[in-house]
Amino acid sequence: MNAVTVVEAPRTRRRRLLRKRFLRRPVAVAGLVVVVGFVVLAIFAPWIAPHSSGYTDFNHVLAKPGGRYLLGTDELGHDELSRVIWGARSSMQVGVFATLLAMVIAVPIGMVAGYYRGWIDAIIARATDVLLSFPFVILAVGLAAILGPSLLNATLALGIGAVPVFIRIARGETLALREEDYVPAAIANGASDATIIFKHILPNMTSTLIVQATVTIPTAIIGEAVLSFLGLGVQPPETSWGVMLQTAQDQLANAPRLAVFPGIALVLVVLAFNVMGDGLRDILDPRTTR
Amino acid sequence: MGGFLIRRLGAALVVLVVASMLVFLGVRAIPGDPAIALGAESRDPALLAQIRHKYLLDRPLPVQYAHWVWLALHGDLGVDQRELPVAHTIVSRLPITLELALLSMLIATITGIPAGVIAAVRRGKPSDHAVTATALVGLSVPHFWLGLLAIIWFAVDLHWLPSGGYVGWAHPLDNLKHMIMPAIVLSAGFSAVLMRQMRSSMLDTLNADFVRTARAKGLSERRVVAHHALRNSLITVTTVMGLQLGALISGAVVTETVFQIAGFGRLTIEAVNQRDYTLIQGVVLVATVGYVAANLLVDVAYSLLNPRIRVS
Repeated sequence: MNAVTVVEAPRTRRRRLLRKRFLRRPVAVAGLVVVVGFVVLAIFAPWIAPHSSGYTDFNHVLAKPGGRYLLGTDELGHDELSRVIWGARSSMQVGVFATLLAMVIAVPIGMVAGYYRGWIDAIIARATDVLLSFPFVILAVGLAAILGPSLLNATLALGIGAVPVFIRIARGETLALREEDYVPAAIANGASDATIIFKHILPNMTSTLIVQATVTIPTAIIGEAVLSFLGLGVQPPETSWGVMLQTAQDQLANAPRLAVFPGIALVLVVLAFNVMGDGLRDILDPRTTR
Repeated sequence: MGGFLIRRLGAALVVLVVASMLVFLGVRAIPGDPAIALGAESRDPALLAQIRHKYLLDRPLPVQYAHWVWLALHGDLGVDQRELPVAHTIVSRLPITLELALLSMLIATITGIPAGVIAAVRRGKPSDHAVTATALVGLSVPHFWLGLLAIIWFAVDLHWLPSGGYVGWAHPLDNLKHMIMPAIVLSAGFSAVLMRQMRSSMLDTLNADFVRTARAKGLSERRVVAHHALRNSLITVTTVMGLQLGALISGAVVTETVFQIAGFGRLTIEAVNQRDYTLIQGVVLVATVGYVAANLLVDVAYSLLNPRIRVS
């Protein structure tokens, strides 16, 4: 009897295993579904939202939810539902770009520190420690003062704010990975430092970086809402959940719902990222796998 | 211990020098004549010349920087657009923010630590799940939204508490009435982090050898938890406090905006909205100094609690 054995590449096998493990965690899967939902909203906002973000209906100011406007309208007659959908755009944009920016700056620095060690590592580690919890609002205040408040500058502030965490992680991973057998092997093959760092060490820390990204994205999303709420981020008439909450502040007594809907969207997306990230960490971290 | 303190102090000083340089250069990176900004937007040539002379704007940058630091060390941060001394404004606003911060740290500590301990001791039981879920929500819900909801419920609907504003210590009860809601809101995130950290560090220590020894000696479970495990876990709390300082400062800015408290945090935002550069410069400098100083304090507390740190 000839058994036909299908030989799977180790990478495919690992992926299949990870997917299986992830699907066994219903909460994490629910998180993923919600995240994907918001990404779709953000990308297809012009087609999904009933109205444009600047649409105003002066005849239906502060309309109650239901009827023509599912979630009602605000004090300028903006359709609340449309603005929540458009707001997903700013949030996702800031979340993703701030995280990417942080990675692009931090990962090379962290890898250099972890790979070469010595004095350069000492300096980088010390600077990272100091910056690790520097209040991002103060940083954003400084940037807004110099460059003026905008979505872009909020993204910059949040991205720079996330740099120290990524430096730490990249450094720690590199310290561990450079002891792996394939590093001396690559050196023996005449590989340059750059080749070792980017071809051998970087690919092996991607899963850790991805897990950290799922933590950084929601943090940046909250950060954007906070900065826009404070007037340091997105500027009206552009919209974001933070801007909506800022304007809702004046209507707390007669239309508290205006402060509720964007907040729910915000919490939902942040919670979804958090539980998805927890699930990813569980399946990617060998120490917690059962 | 002495060596450790001196090293930490030295590092803090270096950070302060670098930070002050960044603040100094930041304001000079803004397009326009700094003399106009420093002189409250006045165009009077005599006044501008006087300001240029006072702040040495006609001299090279390093000289200007040294002079600026010298003035700052003597409590002179310039005057804002309303020609009020910036240092004075900051000093008058700081106590309000400090009260808010201390109150919220107190609330976070008395809720977060016991909840984390209970969750760890009753691992896997309903109370553990309740604490873990509460912490997750506490981390996911942004302060300012929580603040808005609190205003809707407790001020608008129930009329229990004022929706905002600040009353001085001359009226202690009124002061507390105004501060309690903002303080609870600000404490939410910190409390959640404490719960999580306490839980995981207690779980670690409860499995440690010295705890097993304590149990083997026949000590009651309460004594084991309170005297052996908890004491060791408190080191973690100090670390968390250090890492949360930045969040606390950011949180104060936001909370003061939501509850319309005219503290240091609100001043920061006012400064940006008014594009008052002298004020921004002063506020950012003071915030950074406060941050570095508080970090230093946490480090010292940490080394007192954990002798292993001092040696390394």
